[in-house]
Order: sequence, then C-alpha cells, then structure tokens
Amino acid sequence: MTDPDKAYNVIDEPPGVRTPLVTGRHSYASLTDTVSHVAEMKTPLAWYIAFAISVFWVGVLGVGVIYLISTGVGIWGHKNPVYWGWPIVNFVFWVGIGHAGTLISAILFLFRQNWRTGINRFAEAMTIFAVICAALFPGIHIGRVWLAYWLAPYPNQMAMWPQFRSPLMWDVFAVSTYFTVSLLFWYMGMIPDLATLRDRTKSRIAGLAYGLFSLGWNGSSRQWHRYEVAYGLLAALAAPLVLSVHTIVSFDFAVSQLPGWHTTIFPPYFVAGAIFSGFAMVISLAVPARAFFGLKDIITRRHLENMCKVITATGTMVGYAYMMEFFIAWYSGSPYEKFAFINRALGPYAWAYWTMISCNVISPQVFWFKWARTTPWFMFVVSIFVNIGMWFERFVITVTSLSRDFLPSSWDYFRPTTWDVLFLIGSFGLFFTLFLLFCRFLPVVAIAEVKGVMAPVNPPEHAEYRTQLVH
Amino acid sequence: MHHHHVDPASLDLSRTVADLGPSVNRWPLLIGAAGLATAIVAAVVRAFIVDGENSLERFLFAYLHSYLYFLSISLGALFFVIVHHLTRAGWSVTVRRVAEVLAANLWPTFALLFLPILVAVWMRSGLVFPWSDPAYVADHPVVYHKIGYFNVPWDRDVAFPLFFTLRAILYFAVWAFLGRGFLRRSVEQDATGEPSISKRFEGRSAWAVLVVFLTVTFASIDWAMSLDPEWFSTMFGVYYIAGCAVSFFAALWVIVYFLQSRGVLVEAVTVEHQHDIGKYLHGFIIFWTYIAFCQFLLIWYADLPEETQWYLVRQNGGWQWIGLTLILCHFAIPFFGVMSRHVKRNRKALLFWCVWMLVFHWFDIYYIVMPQAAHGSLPLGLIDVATAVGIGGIVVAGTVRTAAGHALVPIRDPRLAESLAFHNI
Amino acid sequence: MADNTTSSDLDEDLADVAHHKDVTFEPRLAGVVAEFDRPETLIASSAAVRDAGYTRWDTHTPFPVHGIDAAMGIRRTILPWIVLIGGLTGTTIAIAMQYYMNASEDAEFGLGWPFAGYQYPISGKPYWSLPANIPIAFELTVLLAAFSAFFGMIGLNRLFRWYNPMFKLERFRLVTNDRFFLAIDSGDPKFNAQELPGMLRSLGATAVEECWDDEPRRLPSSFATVGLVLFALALVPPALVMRHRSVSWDTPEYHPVQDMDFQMKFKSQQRNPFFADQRAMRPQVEGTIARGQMVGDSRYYLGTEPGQAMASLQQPEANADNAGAAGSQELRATDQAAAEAGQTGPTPPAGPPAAGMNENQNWTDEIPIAVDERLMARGQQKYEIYCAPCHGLGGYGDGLVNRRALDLKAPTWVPVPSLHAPQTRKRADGYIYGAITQGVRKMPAYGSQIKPDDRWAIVLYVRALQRSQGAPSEDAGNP
Repeated sequence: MTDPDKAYNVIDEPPGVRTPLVTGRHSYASLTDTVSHVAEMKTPLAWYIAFAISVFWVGVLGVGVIYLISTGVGIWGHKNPVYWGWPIVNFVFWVGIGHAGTLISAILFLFRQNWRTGINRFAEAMTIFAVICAALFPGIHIGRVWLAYWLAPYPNQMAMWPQFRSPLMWDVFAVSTYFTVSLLFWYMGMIPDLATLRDRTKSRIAGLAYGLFSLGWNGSSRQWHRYEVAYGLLAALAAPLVLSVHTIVSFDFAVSQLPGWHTTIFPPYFVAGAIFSGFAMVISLAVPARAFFGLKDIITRRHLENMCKVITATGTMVGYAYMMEFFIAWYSGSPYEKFAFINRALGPYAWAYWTMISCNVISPQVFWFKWARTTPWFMFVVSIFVNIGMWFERFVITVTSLSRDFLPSSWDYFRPTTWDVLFLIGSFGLFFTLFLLFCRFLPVVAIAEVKGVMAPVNPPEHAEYRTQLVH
Repeated sequence: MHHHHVDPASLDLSRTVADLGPSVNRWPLLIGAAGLATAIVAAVVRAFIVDGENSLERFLFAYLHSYLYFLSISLGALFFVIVHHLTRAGWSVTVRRVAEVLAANLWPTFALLFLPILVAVWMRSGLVFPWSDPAYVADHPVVYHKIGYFNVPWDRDVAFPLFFTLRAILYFAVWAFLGRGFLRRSVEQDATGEPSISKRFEGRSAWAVLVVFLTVTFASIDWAMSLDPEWFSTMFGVYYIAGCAVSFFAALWVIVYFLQSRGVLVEAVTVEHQHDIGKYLHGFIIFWTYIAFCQFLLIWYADLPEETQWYLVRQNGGWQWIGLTLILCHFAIPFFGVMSRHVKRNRKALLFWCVWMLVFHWFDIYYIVMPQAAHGSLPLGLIDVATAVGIGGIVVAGTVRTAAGHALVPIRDPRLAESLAFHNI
Repeated sequence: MADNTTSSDLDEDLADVAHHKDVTFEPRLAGVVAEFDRPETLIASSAAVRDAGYTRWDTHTPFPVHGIDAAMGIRRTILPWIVLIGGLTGTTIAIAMQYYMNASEDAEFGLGWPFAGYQYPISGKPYWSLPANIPIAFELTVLLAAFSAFFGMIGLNRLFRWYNPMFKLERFRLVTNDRFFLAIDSGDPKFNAQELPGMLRSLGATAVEECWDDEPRRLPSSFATVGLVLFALALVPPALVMRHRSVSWDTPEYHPVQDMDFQMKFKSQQRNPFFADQRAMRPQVEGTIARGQMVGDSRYYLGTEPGQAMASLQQPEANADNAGAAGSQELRATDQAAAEAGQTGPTPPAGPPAAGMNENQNWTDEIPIAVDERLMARGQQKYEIYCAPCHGLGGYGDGLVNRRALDLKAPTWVPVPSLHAPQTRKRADGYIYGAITQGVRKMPAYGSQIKPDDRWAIVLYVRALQRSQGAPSEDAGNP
C-alpha cells in the first residue's frame, strides 16, 4: 500500500480549486470503516505498553498527591518570595493546551474552515483531558484540599460567601464552565458517531454502552436540523468562552501590581499563547496517531500544513506581545517595569527566558518554508519545542517576577524539588492515560462531519463492506 | 454547504464608479472643502468669543479626531484584503475590490491629510501633542525619559520631532506600498486572469499582515496614545485595530448598499455575503468590547496612579457620559441589534446598524482623543461635526478617484465563481 | 418513529406501559421504510412525498444532508430563543448572586442566615464592583446558554427515547454508515401499506421494507428491582448522617483533618525536662527588659510624678512571669540617667493590679515631650483612629460605637462620657495619659497598642479639643 502522504499531492492547490479534504478513493462506507476500525480492532501490543507507562505515572502522581495532602505544600520548592511555583506554571500550561480543541471545533467552525473536521474530535478530547490535568494543580495547591468546596457559593453556618472580586474566584468559574461546555460540545459531536459504533458492533456489552450514550440517535433529518442549529449555537458560545478562559487566567497575574505581571496586553497575549501551545500539542499527537491508526487519508498533510500556519501566526502574535511588553516597559519610564524586563533577559533566569524566546518565537518561523510545514516528522519535532517553550513562558512570567519583588532583601533563586518534577511528569501520565483510553474506545474522527465535507466515490465499489455488515 | 454553480461570465460585473453618475466626482470634494472651511471659520469665531481658548489647538484636536476615525476605516480595509488572501477566503471575493480601493486610498489621500498634524508637531509649541513643547518636557521627567522616541533618539535635548516624522513616513510608505500594490495587481488580474497573481498575494499577505499590524500599532501609539505622553498601555495598538475592524465592516455594507442602490454590485453581492458582513460586524463589536473591557479592568483593578489617571480624566467632567454611551451604544445595544439572523439578512436593518456603528465608532475615537484637549469639560460642537464632514468628504473624493476606471468586482479572480455561489449554512 | 410526536401517540405509550406483563403484545405495523443510496435521490423523493401530502414521515441520513430541510418543509427550530433566554437567565443570576453575596448586607433584606450577604472590603474596591463582576457574569451566561442549547436539542429531539422500532431492521443499521432512508409512519392519514412500496420504488428507493413494532412498551421487571435496590442503598448514607447527628457518643469524634489542632509545643504550665527547673514557661533572661516594661522615667512612661508608688500597668500574667527571681533584675536595667538624677525606679507590685484609675495618684500635669505642630497633627491622627470610634470626632462621646450600642440598648454598656465634662477638663495630663494606658471603667487599656509618644500626642490633642470647645474670650485675639 502506498503512503498517502506521497500518493496524493494535496499541498499545491491552484487558486480557484479546493483540494479534497479526504484523500484516497473513499466512499462513505470505507470512511466509516477506517475510523471505526480504530475502536473495533484488537488492542495492539504497543497500546498496552504505552498505557502501562502512562498508568505508572498516574500512580506516581497519586502517591504524590497523597504525600502532598498529608504533609503540606512544603514538599514543593515554594519559598519566600516565590510562593507560586511549578503548580501554577503547570496549571497555565495545561489550560493553554486545552484551548486548541474548542478553538478548532468552535472558531474554525464559525470561519467555515472545513478542514477542522479531520482533527476536531481528538483535539476536543485533548482539550478535556488537558483541562482535567490543569484543574488538578490549583485544586491541590490550595493547601487544605478538603476545604476546596468553600469556593462554591452555598449557604453555610459561617455566613461566609465567596469573594467575587478575586481573579482566582473568576478562575474557578471560568475553568469549570469551560470544562463543562467543552464536554457537552465533545459529547454532542460524538452522539451520531457513537450511534455508528452502536450499529456496527457485534458485542453485547459494547452495543449496550454505545447504545446508551448514543441516546437512540436515528439520523432523522428533523433531529439533524436541531442538532446543527445547536452545534452552531454551541460554537458561537464556545468561541468567546475560549477567549474568556485564558483571559481570566491572565487576570490572575495582570490585576496585580507586580511588574512583569501587570500589563494590559496580557489577556489577548495569553489567548494567542494558548492557541499556539494547543495547536502544537495537536500536532504532537496527530502526527504519530495518523500514522499508527492509518488515518493519513483523513488527517492529510494539508491539515498538518494548516496547523503549522496557525502555529506560526500565533507564535508571531506571542512575539508581538513580548516586544510590546519590552517596549512599553521602557516607554513607561517606570524603573520597576524596566528592571523586571531587563532582569528577565539578563538576570539569573536568562537561561529560561532565552529558552522561551528560541522555542516560541524563533522555532515556529521555520514554517515559513513549505518543506518544514509539510514534513510530518519535522513539524513533530518543532511542536515539541513549542510545548517546551510555552511551559517556559509560564515559568518565566511566574518565577522571574516573584523572585525579584519590591523588597530586595527577600530576593532569592527558586529551585524546584523532585516532587515538583514528578508532579509535572505525573500530569503527563494522566493526560496520556485518558487519551489512550479515548483512542481505544471512542470514534477518533468525527465521522458524520467528515462525510458532510467529502466527495465520495461511487458506493458500489465497496459492496463487500455492506454484505459483510448486513450479514 | 452546497454550491449553486454561477458562471461569472453570465453576469455584468464590470461596472465602475463612472456608472454612478457624474455627481460622485463633484459633490464629495465640495462638501469636504465646505466642511473644513466651516470648521476653520468656527474656530476663528470661537477665538473671539471664548476667552482663553487656543482655537487653533481646538481645531487641530477635532481634526486629529476625525482623521484617526476615517483612517481606521481604510486601515481596516487593508487588514481585510490581507487576511482575505492569507486565508484563501472564498466568500469575500465579490466585496474585495471595495476594500482594495479603500486601502489604496491610504496613499496619497491620508498621507496628505496627515500634513497639518505633522506641521502642528513641528511647531514645537505643545499644540495637541504636549511632548512637542520643550518646556513641557523639561517639567516632566518621565516624558524627558522617553522624548528620544519622538525627537532624536541619540540626544534627548534636541527638540525636533525627527523620529516621529521618520516613523510617519515609514508608516505611509508601508501602507502605500501594500494598499496600492494589492489594488494594482488585482486590477492587472482583471485584464489577464492570471492565477499566479492570487498565489503571489497569498505569499505576500503572510508578511504583510505582520508589517501592517506593527505599523498600525506604533501609529496608534504615536498619534493617539502619546496625546497623554505619561500614559501607557501595551494593549493600545490592539484596541485601535479592533476599532478599525468594526468601522471597516460597518462602512463596507454602507458602501455596498449605496453602490447597489445605484445599480452596481447588484448581482455580485448577495444576501449571503451581506449575512457574512453582518456576522463579522457582530463578531468585531464583541472583540472591541473584549479589548476595551480588559484594558479598563486591568488598569482599574491595579489602580496605579501612572495608569489610572487616563481613565480618571475620562470618568469626570462629563466624560463619564461618553464612556457610558460607548458601553451602551458601541456594545450592548448593537450586540442585541445585530445578533439576529433576520437582521443580518435584511438590507435596511443591517444598513441601520452599520450607520449606527459608524456614528458611535466616531465617539470611540472621540473618547480616546478629545479628553486630552479638555479635562473636565465636554467640547462637542459645530467644529467637530464640520471637521468630520470635511475630512469625510475629502476621503470619499479620494476613494472615488482611486476607484476610477476599475471594475468594482475582481472580475477574473479564480475564486470568483466560488464566491458568487457562496451559500451560508 | 417519526419525530413529530402527537399527544395521542404519548397516550398510547402510557397505555402500553400500563399493560400487565402477562398480556402478550400484539405486533403492529409501525410504518414503511425505503432505502436510498444517494442523498440527491433522497432529496428529490422527499420533495415528492411532501407534495403528495404526507405529514407523518421523516428521512434518516448518516450526516446532515443540505437542502433536505427545504425539500421536507422543516421549519426552523425555536432553539435559538431557548438559548437566548438561558443566556440572559445566566447573566441575571450571576449579577444578582454577586450583588447579594458581596455587596448586600444582612440588614438590607432582614432575612438572616442562610439568606445573608457578606460585605468585605477587598483591595480598596467598593463592595459593589461591577467591573470585577463581569467575568463571572460572562461565564454563567455562557454556561446556562450552553446548557439550554445542549439539553434543548436533546429535549426537542426526544433523545431520551432509546428505542425505535426501526432499530429492529437489519438494513437500518446502515443509516449511520452510507445509506439514506425515508420512513412513513403508519399513523399518517394517507398511509397505505399496499401502495407505498411501489410509489417509493418508483422514486428511486433501492429497497422498501415494512417496519413492525413487536416490542412491548414497558420496562423489564429487572429495571424496577435494580432501581428499588439502588434507591434503598442511596438512603443508607443520609440515614447514617442523621443518626450521628442525633446520638451522643462517649468516644471522641474521628479526627481525619488535623488542621494543626495538635502541635508539638509546650504550653505554659507544662513540664519541660530540657531545663533544670523543668518549667516550660521561662523566666526573663538576666539583664533584659521585657517589652513595655521600660518605665524608668515615670513621667514619660506612666504619667506620674517620680518618687511615688503607682498602679501597675502590667497584665496579671506578666506579673506572674516576673515574680520572684526576675523582679529584682528590673531595677538594674532602669535608665542610667534617671538613676543619677536620684529617681527611684518603679517597683513591680507583688499583688494583683489596682482596678481602674486612682484619682488621687500624683499625676503629672505636664506633657513630658516637646510640644509642637507635628505632635498635634500626630495626636489628631491617632485620636481619630483609636479614640473617635467611641468618643466621637469632637470628643462628645458620640462616636459610632457608642451610638450603635445605645441603639441596640445593650444592657451592659456604659455610655461614653464627654471629654468636655467639667471634671474631665480638670484632670491632670498624666491622668488622661494613664487612662489611655491602663483603661478606665469599660474602656480597655491601649498601652500595648499605642506607643508612649503617641499617647502623649493624644493627650495634647484632647487638650486642644477641650480648649476649642470652651475657648476663653482672650483666645479670640490671639491667633
């Protein structure tokens, strides 16, 4: 079998011609078969190995959480003056990654970017898993975890209500709303595809499970009509929601008076960074997944190229924000602002700052070259750099500003502990565990949506599929 | 979405501004000249009847206000053309020529209209821009610190706006190159139908969007943010650009409506394109609000004196009513007004909201510029309206002149058929 | 089958559920289902079926086929309006909630717990800070609008019905794959099981089948059993909670969350084997003076003329600390200059402190530090912070605390006397100083909160207040 990447030239589209979004000679049935196969095939050994590794790290994370709760947040490297260390860095990092999914489903939907159909399903799944990883960190960082419910506004005998003027409170609402709406969006998109799996499976247990969650979907046109309207409305709601979430995360920093945190460009800059890191993560996952699961016809090089372009665009926006911060730090004439930024670039954390600049601003510029943005292995490497860079961005923001506060006597150098590192790796374990489960049991591509944008070959060519299915 | 095939050749798309009749060549310039003359007369009269007012400065403030307002429409058009090519957009081909003409009008119309502002700065008397006055700079250490950005970077004690002027030249060079370049090539395609031109646009638009974003950012800092030389906000450029997008989409439908009422673009621009223009207008109303609110919230919350003074001025002396007007009329009311699908697909209803947004976007720029002229009072009168009419008339005349001789649809764009067949879900 | 369920349909459903399980279910013809292999054929057939006047029918497709809404004559759904209402509800709830919880006061509604708001000042922001409430208002708007969109779609589409007789057709399984179906319900007034197959075939159907509903419409009995068991089990936790709340226990409660309740530390009366005397509570180290005990200059520190025993300004506990060995040390530590001037340092009293102020003590009648404008300003500032809440800004005893206590008619409240009362005006400076330091009657001691300099500044300001309220006529000419 020829490699679809080489067999079909989907890259050089002449103006006025739209190249097909699904390559290969696919009919509706063969597309259904290709995607369903991922969930229906015998579990490959590689999956078990990957799953075992991931679950091991979830175990480490679990041990870490127990140790943390029984001992206290002192097991992390927090000390005066840096009391927001890796947990907040990891939180912002994961929330950022969680932006690509809903962006692809909602904003690209509103812009009628049909290529999103090939990747939206697992980008949305990735969003939900990333938000779970993100929500973990502030949850365990509050110290007395068992009092986390105090954040909820409920009548209580202390007559205490949450403090709604705090950006941390806004975070609670933003992240939980985002999680809920992303989940609804993901699930709603999956209902017709779960019905597909329901109608194909021969296993009674799988049939019951898929049947239960597909809610008796029968593809009625009256259902489709309301479904599409609901989908459009959810997209229109989710698009500003995506913006609001990282905006509010940026408020955690920007409403303060700390130089390096308090700057008005933070909200759109954080959103651009989130999309940037999210798309990088989608590439990091899509490149291996499309090869492993045989989805190269559906997630084509054109899809990957478009994502690379988004990465370059958002990476450059992030670069614009870095530049504006520096320029305004000088322009403001405030010695504190100026110091904060000079300290970032030349101070004790200069290594982190230049890692960030190299990974976030410089590395995505390779995608100006067509070869770079159409070569899967290369973009995979760059996407890893972007992920590293975006983690460092949050580290630089959090730690450089805190470690040089207004009281020079308290200045200190932040060092993470082993537990800091284990929690970060553990959160990756959690992310990949969930992602592997998703790949194993659920439709990894939005089958119905792709059918709506593909141009199928004649059905009779695939008659053997049908006889086999109807038995 | 499904495509009805429409053959561009079967439609008469090659109409030009000449089909609008002779009045469009004459009236805008006359109205513009009359407007500016009225404003100048009003300023001179005020000099006699209002004690202690520098009526030249009053006029220049009104001039800068309306200049930045009309500039935002053309810059929005330039962004639109670039992003259209960058994203290989299909739907917007039929309205792209209008945007190209608006963007090409940046040169020479807007460059010439900028000269009075430049002269005001060169006078070094603190007119409009306080930093242009050496005495003011000497009194304000923070401004002295940054005066090299406006005057001479290597010697802060030389009081000549060298760097400011060089930057203005650079901005207009970039906008002229891109705005004129996109129009020229696009018109060339009308004749040759060469698809490689579209391909070239695509490549050029990638760096063009970056260059335009940077130049507009710094232009907004130079020409609007520096009116209060001590104030700063990293978001300011984005705020102005958000306004550019709002005013452009509003202006686009007003122009298309006018052209269609004169029999031009009737077949080319359908209710589907209109619907999309409405959606973009709605989307950018929300985006503008988002940027404006974030900028306000962060400054209000941190409450640092060097930042919050900008809003302090705008929350007192009558300015709070302008702020409230913007919240209601630049966001809340049009947000609900344009929300409905039926409104976006109704020609007259959308026209109403576009005119509404153009009016209140004028107040948005007013809110940025004019409080620097008058802390504690609300100057709004004949002089402002006359200046707006004056600059508006000249801009329209320049636009008509730029459009002369060109079809108002890119008649041989390779994606024209796709655009004509475009259908919303 | 078709989605446009009518009330008679529902009645029928309910009647079926009510069937006794012994009654065998009679299969009924649910409708006719035609299969098509291309969406274009389905659209054309739909238009034909619509034009033929059928009302209870539907098409089923693997993906949304565009153009079919018009062909079938489907009207636009009301879902957007539901979402708009949901969104506005979210905004309203969020704004009302934040106003009520952070900006309203209990008294405003007079409702008390659990309906009481809670005002707390945060970073100088007003209680009602609209800009700070926008983010949550936005989030709740989106959340409720999204719920409305999702559950509205589920509800309008009847997606809580898992069963459909068409699922029995093997062929219909391809509806989620690559086939397109047109189904006409047997409830349609024009339904005719004999003629329909021919008509549908002529429209281009590749297959036509009758669909029989042979499933009794009632829940399997196992559902009820499982449901009952689950319900019973669900009652166990609340029952346990209720019992634990109503019964007293001899054993201490289980203490899973420590909250630093038990700490490794020595309490004052405990034994500490580390020290030779085994006292956990340590005496004062030789050669040191405890905070607030530097009383060498009695005028300055105590407000009394030197050379006379005076009431203690120490707390009883502090006296206990210093009793015995430490007591004599203090003498040595008194100010050297004072000793040279022949002054005797204060002797720490052995007994309990005198209650209240001793009016006959030898209070000094001068302010022992330099009196200048700065001291006056300082005095005013401190007076307004510490004294004005009770004594009032003018010293008439009309401070907010006093007024509120009188409003509440608190039985133990002693009204604050006016500082302009004749007997108060006659008091020595030292007496006022002493009253601030030790407290008097209900007034607590401020010695631990206000430094001596500031206490004297207050005395100065009180004197100025008194003078201002009964100024002698000669003041008028002397600025």
